[in-house]
Amino acid sequence: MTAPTEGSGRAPLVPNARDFWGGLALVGIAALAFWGARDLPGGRGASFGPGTAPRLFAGLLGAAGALVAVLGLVSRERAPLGYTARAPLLILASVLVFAATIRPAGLLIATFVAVLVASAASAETRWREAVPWAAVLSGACALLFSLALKLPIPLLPGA
Amino acid sequence: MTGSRKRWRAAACVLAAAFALPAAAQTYPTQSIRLIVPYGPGQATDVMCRVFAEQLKVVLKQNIVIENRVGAASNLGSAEAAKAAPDGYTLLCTGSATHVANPLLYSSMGFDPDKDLVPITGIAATGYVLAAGPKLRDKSLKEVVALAKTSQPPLKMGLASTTARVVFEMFRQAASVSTMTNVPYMAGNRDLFPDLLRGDTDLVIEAMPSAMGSLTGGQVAAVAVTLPERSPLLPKVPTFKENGFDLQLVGWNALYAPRGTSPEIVARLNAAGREALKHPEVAKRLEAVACVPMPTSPEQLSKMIAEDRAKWKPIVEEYKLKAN
Amino acid sequence: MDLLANLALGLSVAVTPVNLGLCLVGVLVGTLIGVLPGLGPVATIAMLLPLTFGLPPTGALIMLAGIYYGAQYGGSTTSILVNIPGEASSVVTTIDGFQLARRGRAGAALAIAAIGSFFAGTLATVLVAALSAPLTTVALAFGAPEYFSLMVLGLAFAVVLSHGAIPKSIAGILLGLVLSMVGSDLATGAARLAFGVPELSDGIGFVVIAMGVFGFAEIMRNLEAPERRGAIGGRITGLMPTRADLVQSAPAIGRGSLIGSALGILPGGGAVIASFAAYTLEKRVAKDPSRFGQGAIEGVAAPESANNAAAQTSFIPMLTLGIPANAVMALMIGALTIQGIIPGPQVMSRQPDLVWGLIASMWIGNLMLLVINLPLVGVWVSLLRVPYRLLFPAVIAICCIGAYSVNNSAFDVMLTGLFGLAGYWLAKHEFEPAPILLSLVLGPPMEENLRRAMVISNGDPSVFLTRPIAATLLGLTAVMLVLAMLPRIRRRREQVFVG
Repeated sequence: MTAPTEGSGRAPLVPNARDFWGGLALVGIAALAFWGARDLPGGRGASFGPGTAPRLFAGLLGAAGALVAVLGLVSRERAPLGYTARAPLLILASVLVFAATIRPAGLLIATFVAVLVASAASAETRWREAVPWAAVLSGACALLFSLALKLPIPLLPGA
Repeated sequence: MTGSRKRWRAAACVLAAAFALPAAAQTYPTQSIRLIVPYGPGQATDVMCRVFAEQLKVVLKQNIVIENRVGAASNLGSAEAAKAAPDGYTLLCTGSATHVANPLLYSSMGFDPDKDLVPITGIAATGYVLAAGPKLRDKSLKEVVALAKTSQPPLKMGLASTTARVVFEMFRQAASVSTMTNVPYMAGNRDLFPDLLRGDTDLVIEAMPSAMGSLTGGQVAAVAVTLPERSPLLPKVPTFKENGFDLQLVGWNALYAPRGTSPEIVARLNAAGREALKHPEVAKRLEAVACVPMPTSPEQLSKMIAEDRAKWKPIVEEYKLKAN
Repeated sequence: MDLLANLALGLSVAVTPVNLGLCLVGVLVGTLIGVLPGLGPVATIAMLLPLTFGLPPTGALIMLAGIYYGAQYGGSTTSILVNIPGEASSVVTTIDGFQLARRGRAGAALAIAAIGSFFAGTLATVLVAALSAPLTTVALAFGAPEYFSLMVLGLAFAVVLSHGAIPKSIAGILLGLVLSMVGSDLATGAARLAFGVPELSDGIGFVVIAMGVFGFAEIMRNLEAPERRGAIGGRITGLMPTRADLVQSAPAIGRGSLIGSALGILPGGGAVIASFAAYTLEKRVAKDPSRFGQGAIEGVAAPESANNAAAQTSFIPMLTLGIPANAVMALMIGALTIQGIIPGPQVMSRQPDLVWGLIASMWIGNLMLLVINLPLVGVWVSLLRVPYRLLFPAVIAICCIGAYSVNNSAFDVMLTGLFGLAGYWLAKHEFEPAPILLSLVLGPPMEENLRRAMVISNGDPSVFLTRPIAATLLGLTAVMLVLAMLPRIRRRREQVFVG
């Protein structure tokens, strides 16, 4: 969505990339919301329609986002903006894996797999420890949520 | 849904039914039953379903796990029940809106309530009440109607559900009142009666279970009910009908199973449901929330759905009520 | 005196062995589900509802109320330990609570939260007992224009409490408002900004965003920069608050309790706004406001006292008017009506034992929570000693199950993950999450009340100026915003002149 700038060395294109791109992204979200509300009827005069508030808030968000972006051009950054990919993407993957497996495979398997994927997100993970830990966690979660709290969550495949 | 998928599912249903039949007929249920309630915990439908399920458990001698699947005015949870395996272990308990209002209001519900679900039995029924705030609370229905015709600025009517909106339009037609301001409370009825009490609105139409608490206070008064006869809980309040207005509407909820559930299981559940509703404790608890037990046969339930929908249709069309 | 007689009646009802037992069961169950993110009192109380059919009404209500405030308590625990607020009213607690945990002072934060909640509960009990009748009229004085103005004021608190640039916190609030528009239109039911996804037609749930933007995003950032964790997963000093902590917290607890008691009476968002208001007030009266956001103990004491006091006083409109402040209260009304008791104006006179028994039991329940939770502080803190590489997958697993359990929806779990990524991005760009979450919660009721205010005034916007309470609240908002801008403008000008 945004281009991270490399801090050191050459002079950055934008003095405060954090605010500039942050503001622009909000403008983008506002535009998306405005577009999403295009078919909603607005109100007449003082009366509200379903589309009035979304368009109003989206418009204000666009303006505020633009202001933040402009301020990003005139202010200076305190620390460079840097993203990493491993932790965010693997944590996301772990949650998505859970979402995809909970219905078909049940709580035990979904938790086990999600914990393993999540463990891969950390550089400190020791796999000899992580695999049994995943098994312990999925067992404990099954005991707590399915058996003790009796939540209507499938425990095993096909349940 | 595409035709081929429908056919495939029909075939699957027949197969499933064929396998389930011999075992099901005698011993159903052999495991706990999942009962989907497409409303949030604590909402009127949920409370009624829980009261009913509590007794159904006893009759069936099997556990029933209630799963609240909220979303899209009951469409999400009902769709999930409609798509579940038709083995009698996933059932749906929902209000009349799912079958009466939503097919008229929604261009797509994600399932077809007539084709994808089979009715089992009605559970409970209740009425709607027209209530007046401090300014109008001593007036009779006829006086209120006369005032509504001439009042300037127009009287304000608080409405907290689609059904209330439909009752409102029925009322305007029956009483030939043209100008009245509709004040919607669609996010929940919390402020409906406080606003009436404060005089921000003049009248409200609300389901009886939600209205009873405020009606006992004396500061707001019931003007009329939509029931065919007076309610034992509000014996002094007339019906619209006895005042000569053609307005009668009963809200109800009922039990359904996914299409393809074997007739034996449906018959067993119908019998068990009726027996549960006969229990005096159930009747007492339903009465406490201004409802009466409404056991029916599956056929009677289908008929009620068709009749109510025919009644609603012209209003929904005339006022272009639409959900999505 | 009436007050003493009422409290004596209440105590006599609440201390029967059965009612004491039900109260204890309630607060224990509540604490348990409160510390499990995603699981809330609503689902639990719904599940237990049939059980209460067999209980006497007073006992049933005492147990359900125990679950409610026990869960609030537990929700604060997760705010402090893992940066995941259990509900909207403990969002502010994360700001300084989690910083304290990071500095190895989770124990002090938890203990202060417990002590503050107990004090707030005591004060609120006395207030409820002494003033419930006049307070009821306050609740009734708030109509749509008043609620709208109150919520605008609430958003102004969120601007003031943030420590970043004002344009960014305003942008964050607007982002929350836009997100809150996803769902269905209140008046017509038309789907809005749902982009054809049926699961979005009821909006994005609080749990989804709180877990994603707070919990998952925090884990992502801790993994990429292990030094951010501070003491978590390692050395943790002192379990109990120091004398200095207590001295600093005492006035904050007092002020928070008063704000919470007052705003809790308003069923529309009072408790949430109370916690933000209490935090903002502490930041404004502090000698050194820059400590806030870095682990100021008052930043935990004030909102925790406020939300607990509000939880107590919110029983007033529920019992005396039948107006539920939230879904839990709606369930309790359901439980009472099934018992044949219809909450309303006569409950106080017809069922004094029920009302006063409940009020007294809430004080006893708060005492129980204090007694249970102070020793538990050690247990919670020892969880933070688990190496982070093992702790974080466990948090993720519990969150996933919790997110699923809210609506039994895998889609919600997926959305939680995506909001985790969004939260990571927001944090990187230094948009604070607390104001976003507040406006997300307040957005729909704000719109609803604005629209209704316009309808009942026949389209005349001057209703916000002619109704005194609404006008006062909006005036207060303007004053607060000006006060918030002034020092920053001055500072900027100084910087400009120096630079």
